[in-house]
Amino acid sequence: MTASRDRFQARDAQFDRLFNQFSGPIYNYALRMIGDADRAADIAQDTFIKAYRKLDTLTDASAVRSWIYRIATNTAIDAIRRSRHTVRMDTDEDRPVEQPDGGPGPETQVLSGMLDERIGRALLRLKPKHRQCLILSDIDDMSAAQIGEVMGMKGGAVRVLLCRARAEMRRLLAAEGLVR
Amino acid sequence: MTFSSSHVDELISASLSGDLTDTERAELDAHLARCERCRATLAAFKSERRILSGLPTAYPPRDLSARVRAGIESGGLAAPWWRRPGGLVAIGASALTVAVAFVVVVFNQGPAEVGQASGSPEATLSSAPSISAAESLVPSVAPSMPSTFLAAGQLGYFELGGAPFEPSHLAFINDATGASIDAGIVSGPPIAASLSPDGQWLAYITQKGESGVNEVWALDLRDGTVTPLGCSVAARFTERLAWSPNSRWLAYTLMAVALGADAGCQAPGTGTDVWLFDVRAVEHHQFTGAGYAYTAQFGPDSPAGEGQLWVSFAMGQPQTALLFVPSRPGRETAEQAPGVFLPVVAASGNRALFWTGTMAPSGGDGSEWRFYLGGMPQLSGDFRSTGPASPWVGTPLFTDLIPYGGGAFAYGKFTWGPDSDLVAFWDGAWTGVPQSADGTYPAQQGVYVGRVSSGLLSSASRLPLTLEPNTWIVDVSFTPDGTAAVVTVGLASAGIGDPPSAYLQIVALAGGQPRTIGGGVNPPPWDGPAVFGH
Repeated sequence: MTASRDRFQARDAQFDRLFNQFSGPIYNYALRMIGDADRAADIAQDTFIKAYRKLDTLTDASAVRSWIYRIATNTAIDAIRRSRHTVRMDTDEDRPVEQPDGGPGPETQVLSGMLDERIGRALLRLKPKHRQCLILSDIDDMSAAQIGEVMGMKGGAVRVLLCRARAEMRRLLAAEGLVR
Repeated sequence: MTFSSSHVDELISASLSGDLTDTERAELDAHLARCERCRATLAAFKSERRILSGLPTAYPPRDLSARVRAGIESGGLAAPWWRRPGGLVAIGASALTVAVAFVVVVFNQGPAEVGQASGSPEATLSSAPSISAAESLVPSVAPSMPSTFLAAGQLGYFELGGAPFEPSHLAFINDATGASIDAGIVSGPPIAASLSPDGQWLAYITQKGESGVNEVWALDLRDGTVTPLGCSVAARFTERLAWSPNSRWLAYTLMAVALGADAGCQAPGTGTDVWLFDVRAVEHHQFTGAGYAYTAQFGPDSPAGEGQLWVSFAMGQPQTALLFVPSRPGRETAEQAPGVFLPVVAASGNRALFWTGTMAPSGGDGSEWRFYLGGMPQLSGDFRSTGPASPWVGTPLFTDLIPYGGGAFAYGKFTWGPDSDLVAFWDGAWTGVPQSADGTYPAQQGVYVGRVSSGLLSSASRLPLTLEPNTWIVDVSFTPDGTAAVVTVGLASAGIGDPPSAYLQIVALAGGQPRTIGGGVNPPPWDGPAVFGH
């Protein structure tokens, strides 16, 4: 009985560490994938509930990051499949792209907010797999091998996918006036 | 060798994440040298990567841990957002949240390094006591027990001696009594110091030679015991040493560094995070795990007796949050200050100095944050005002600086005087157009001192220090009666074997001949920074 309770407590402690370390990154990953704060919270919540249930299958402590991101990825893709109104900001096509005037003063904060909005909008226009590998590479700083573990692909395939995603993102950022 | 354009683009893309073999790297470098289109692609991919990596990070919902725990216990997954109470109302708000793209703060509980309790994420913020900005900012009055080494009002300062090529002995000296405490051998001069409110502990930061690394220490003034607290890249904004009002906790900032096992000087993790030293347990541990968190200042303890620490998060638009110490998963934040970076609150608790502006990572690994657009020190509104305006909408500390085109301060330092009216600013790196005819204002070498009650700071606020061209301002503080500024002036090393030196200059604000501590001997020692007994 004591051994069972100890094992239970150890599992809870392990999960607490996992949650503390990854709740922020996973929520942000979901937010960038799905573009909706409420649904990102749902995805993060489901990710950690699934992670708790599967904790016994995590045998390689060094792979915990890929493991939790893979659960989050599958959860997010399921959510995208279930609902097709994921990208509200896509309807904003006709909005003119404002150019920063470089002026001084408090508008710098507003300009920054606009900049973030335009980046987020471009990101959400990518195909889900392109968006996913670009987020994992450029925001979560994963290598092709790590991205492959998360997405269930070989490293070579990740390189091809990532290159296409970059080219597409370059076009979308250019459309937003952020790069040439 | 001839490549297809798609193959070259794949190599370029893979090069950004370090995914090339040595052979591929050599092939790509050779190809880039003769292909203009490929160089343009590389520049565009780099630019895109920089833009994405600079996106600010969002703070997870406060109730996420409680929702997860409830889901685990009930055996269910999340109810879809449209089935939750308030879900439809929340749509508009969430769309707005995304529209401004992740502008709230992230706090990631760091891994326990030493002695950190592992709590269960069962509590939620809804059970947290509501703490107003005014209440949370008023520092508690420090216990008035006399220090064992430095009595109230007495000046203490560090002195680093030693001939060239000899070990450097660091001592802490009581200026009034001449008594000193040996703080042992260090490999570089002290650049920051902070005395605990009870006067028992002295925290300080030393440079580690010219390696670009700092070391953090705590000296027990009762018995001279020195505790090493970790190493950090000598990054901007990492030199705050914040004591809790009850003197139990020291918060400080480490930017991850690994000099190798032989150097005995490593900070784990990645990026910049807040660490805590618990003087009762004589243990330190990592507090945040965000990778871009900076120590600002402790507020007063909560009504429940918990420590509360202001932590700033560097991102495009920086954020500052009040976090409980020790951390309690599920109720991390009591207050947040959007757009605010590294606030320091006056002793009265009425106002704060803080940074605003747009930040960006810089440095070799891109993890050292500075302001790149509109970085300006600000004076907050009055926290005790009951008006509708947020006190965090500040007034520029300098009344005559105009950041044309966004060029402003990349970094700098400020502090309050003991009367909560005096303010000082120094080491400000101005990236904008010089604002004086002779092109010297604002000067990084200048120390600007003014009063909230009489016009803040301007070009006329510069202290009349006589400085050599190769000097730099290490630290500034005020005497307890507020009549003088105490400036640590550093002199750069003249060459190999010539140690850096510094002197303390005590400058009366009403004018008169400054008093100097240090200098005058050969080789000159390093004297400073200074602290005063409470």
